[in-house]
Amino acid sequence: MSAICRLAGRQLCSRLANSERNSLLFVRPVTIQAQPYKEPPKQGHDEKNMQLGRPCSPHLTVYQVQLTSTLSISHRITGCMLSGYAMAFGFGAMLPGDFTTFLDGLHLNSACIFSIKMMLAFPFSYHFLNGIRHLSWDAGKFLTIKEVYTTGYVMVAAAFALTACLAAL
Amino acid sequence: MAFHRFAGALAKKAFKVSFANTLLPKLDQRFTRHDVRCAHTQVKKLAPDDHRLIWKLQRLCSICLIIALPIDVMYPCLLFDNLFVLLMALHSFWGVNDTIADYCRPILFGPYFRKAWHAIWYITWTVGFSGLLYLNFMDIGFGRALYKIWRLEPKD
Repeated sequence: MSAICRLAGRQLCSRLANSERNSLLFVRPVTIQAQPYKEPPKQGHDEKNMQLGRPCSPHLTVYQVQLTSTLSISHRITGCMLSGYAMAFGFGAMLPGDFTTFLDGLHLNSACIFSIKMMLAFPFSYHFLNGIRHLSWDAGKFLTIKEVYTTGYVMVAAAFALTACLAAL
Repeated sequence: MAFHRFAGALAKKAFKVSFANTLLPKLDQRFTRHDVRCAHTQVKKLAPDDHRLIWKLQRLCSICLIIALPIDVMYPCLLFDNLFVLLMALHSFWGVNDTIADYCRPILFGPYFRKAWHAIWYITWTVGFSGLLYLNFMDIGFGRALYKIWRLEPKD
């Protein structure tokens, strides 16, 4: 019995001792075959999240209201308002009758005219000035947090000033 | 003499060893990195939805709009009116299109909501843009129309 144990031990020990040299003896041979690349199915961000049962991301309601995000969403809102004005103007232009007679036939009082001018001037001023701010970011300027806030405050003040100037014209 | 020859051979061998150990691997590494970088750019160039060109065009359009608006209001004519209306329509098309893509989310409104809004926007934009061109060609033009709105006489 002891002879068997001793023999088996010696066998194992010698194998382990030489394992660095003969480590390939323990490895099962595997053939690796190259497969042509298969493109994963084209899927949008939301479609993937829906398929995996994930929640909506980015999730808006978890964020605190900040100047940066408020100015950003206002930029889009004013842009959509101006697009709406332009489209309404285009639709109106195709109605029968020319523009000058239409304007003369409106008979608006001064308060109405002032509010129309404000409705046109404020989204325009805001979108115009914030657009310049966005373009300067795209050019790589004013990108630190401090500069983003400073340009934000300056832009809002300038937008109100420009609106007042335009409405007073 | 023999010593000189021996020293020369030693120096040569030393140089070879150092060259093989230091310079060659570095060169190899540099080539590998370079190859990887090249391959990376190629992949990027071949990507089907490459937004670099459209991004640059959008910024160019915005910059041109800033210049075109005051010019059109100051010197209204057929050329400036059409130029401004074209730039504005393009800017508006991209802006609203991206807004719809960002906020009409399939995860919130289902898969068809966004497509429906895109369709509505394409039709609205086509009709509105045609109307603005009609204003330029058949009526007083965009610049003069804007001026007239600002010169409205109050009738109390």
